[in-house]
Amino acid sequence: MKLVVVGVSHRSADLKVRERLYFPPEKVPEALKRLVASDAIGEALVMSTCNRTEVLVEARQDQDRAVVAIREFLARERSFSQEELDQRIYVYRDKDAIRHLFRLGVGLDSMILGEPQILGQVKAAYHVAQQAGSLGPTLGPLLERSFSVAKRVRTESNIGRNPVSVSFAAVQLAHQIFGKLHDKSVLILGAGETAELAARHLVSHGVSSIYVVNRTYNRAEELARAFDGEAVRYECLRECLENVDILISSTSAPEFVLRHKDVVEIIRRRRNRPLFLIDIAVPRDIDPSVNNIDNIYLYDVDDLRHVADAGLKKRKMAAEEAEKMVEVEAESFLSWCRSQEVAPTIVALREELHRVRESELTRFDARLRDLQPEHRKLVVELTTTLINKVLHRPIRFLKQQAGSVDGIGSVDMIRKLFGLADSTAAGPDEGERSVGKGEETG
Amino acid sequence: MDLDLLLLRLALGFYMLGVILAFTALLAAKQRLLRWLPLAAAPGLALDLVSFVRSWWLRGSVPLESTPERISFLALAVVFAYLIAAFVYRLEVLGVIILPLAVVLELISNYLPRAAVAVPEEVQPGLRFFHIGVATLGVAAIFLGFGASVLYLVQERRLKSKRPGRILRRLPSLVSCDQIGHLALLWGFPLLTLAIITGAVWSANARAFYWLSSGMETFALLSWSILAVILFARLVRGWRGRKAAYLTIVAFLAVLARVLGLTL
Repeated sequence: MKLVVVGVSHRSADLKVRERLYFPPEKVPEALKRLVASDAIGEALVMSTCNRTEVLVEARQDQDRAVVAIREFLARERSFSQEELDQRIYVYRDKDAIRHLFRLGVGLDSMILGEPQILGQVKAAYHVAQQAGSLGPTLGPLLERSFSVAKRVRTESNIGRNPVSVSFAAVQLAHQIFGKLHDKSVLILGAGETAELAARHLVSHGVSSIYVVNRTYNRAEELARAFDGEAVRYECLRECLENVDILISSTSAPEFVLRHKDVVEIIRRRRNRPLFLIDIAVPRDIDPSVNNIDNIYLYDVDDLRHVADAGLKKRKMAAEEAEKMVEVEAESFLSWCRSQEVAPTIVALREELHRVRESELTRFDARLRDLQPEHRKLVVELTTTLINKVLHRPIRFLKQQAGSVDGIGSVDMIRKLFGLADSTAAGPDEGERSVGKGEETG
Repeated sequence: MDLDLLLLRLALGFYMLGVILAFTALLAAKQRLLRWLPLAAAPGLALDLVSFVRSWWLRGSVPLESTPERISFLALAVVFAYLIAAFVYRLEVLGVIILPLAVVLELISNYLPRAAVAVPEEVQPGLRFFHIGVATLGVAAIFLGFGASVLYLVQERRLKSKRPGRILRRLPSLVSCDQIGHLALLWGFPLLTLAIITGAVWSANARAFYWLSSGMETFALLSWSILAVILFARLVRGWRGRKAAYLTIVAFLAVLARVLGLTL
């Protein structure tokens, strides 16, 4: 297994460079075909998003040649000079490449730590490559493993759990108050980017009905159309507040829109059903003392930011844990790869020696003919045990090597020693030679 | 050690395992451990049930004669109520409050003297066992209501103070704590009502005086009245949340006083 990753990301290059290196999805299959046409590259995957463009390949023989091939490919496809490219690309090989891919899926390399979109992007790149036929026995399993690793690490380290943006903090709090949001309704008062974003987040988490109130009814209607909601006249604000569960307020009113006594009246009419007030306006729309009323939960922009900041801190802590888990997973995938290479060698070794045994028995058949049947049986048994004893140590050695760094070298050595270089076509001569060696060492 | 005691001790072991898990989950902030709480409690409940049925079988009468038996039965009912909340409403975290209570009950039952019980001749043994049965189930429901109320108050405090919690990242939502608390009372109140009525009838027949004069039952009546107030206020005045939670806790304390009164 010879893996190479070459890429640029938001860490290594600015947006200008990333834009130039971006591969639109429809161009990727063609690009993949040109990549695997190179004799240095066996399998390939191209992943291109606004934050990164990466090429992952399985090198045919030499990794350095594969790196050169990828650099040439990028320079050619995106008209860069080699020097321009060299300053910005990073290269990972083998275990580093595996680790990089695993970290990617978990979101550890993302601009927003632990964000979940990246996993979908890797999956999309995987499907494109699969369709284009540029994946094989090395990259296919590696990518599939990276998906399961991402899923496991994300759930177990909780990296994605804590909100890191104001609008997502609002959703999280709504969950803590109401649990499931599917039968809840939200009222948007006024307009503004953060308010709309928060509302959009709430909708994507199941909030079913949306009402929009604005001083100018037309604007309310406009926004309501965008959200597939319902516009409500400003005069009916209080009434509407008796029925909704969440209010997102962001008017430009200079004084409070909701005073303490208004809210006391509203909660009385609601028969104490909890109400979540989100005040994103500056200056504020809702009297802060409202938070002291039972069953009212008022959060202003600072409160939400506070929650989001705490979330980021927790994400950073979770990220440390996630890094450790990724390391373990990368190690275990690597040893799995090695054991894949060791297993066929063990089988070949065993088959080869037993084949030699049988051919020798046939050769001696004439001379053993005088023996009694039970003695003949004994000879068969004797030779079988002998071969198994001889095999015992090399096989144990191979299995031990499966998990270690220089396992591949050992496999080569064993193959050469026992003449397994071409395991499908070992001739009888070779067999004789190897049985001689077996006797010496056994 | 006879088999009966062994079964009870084993059950206690499982509950204790649950308590250890619960506290580890709290102290190490390992939310994932909470998922295992019901799985630790369930075998304990099964052993408890086996022991209960076995004693019933062997003795030929309901094993609720002595105080230790009744308290052990209460522990069983409390864990049963918890498992319903955990499996049906996914409120595994309630175990943090309920399981230690169950362990304490089992320990009390364990260390009370186990005198051989002479089955008394009585007029209506069926009525008395029915009384004890519904009373125990009612009390178990109040225990559950107590757990849900404590969770509600913790979660409410966190949301009002606007500080993301440090102990546990995700408690059940406020609304579900409130609903479970309410549901527990909806079960507990009729059961306790039934218990009080049957208790009064039995005691009037058997001892020729009303149980109210016995003094100890005042606590039972007190907690019953509090439940009545909470339910009334909830239905008529739309009370919910914090006030209901506080009152549920008071009702629980009254019930607890009544239960511990048994042991004196």
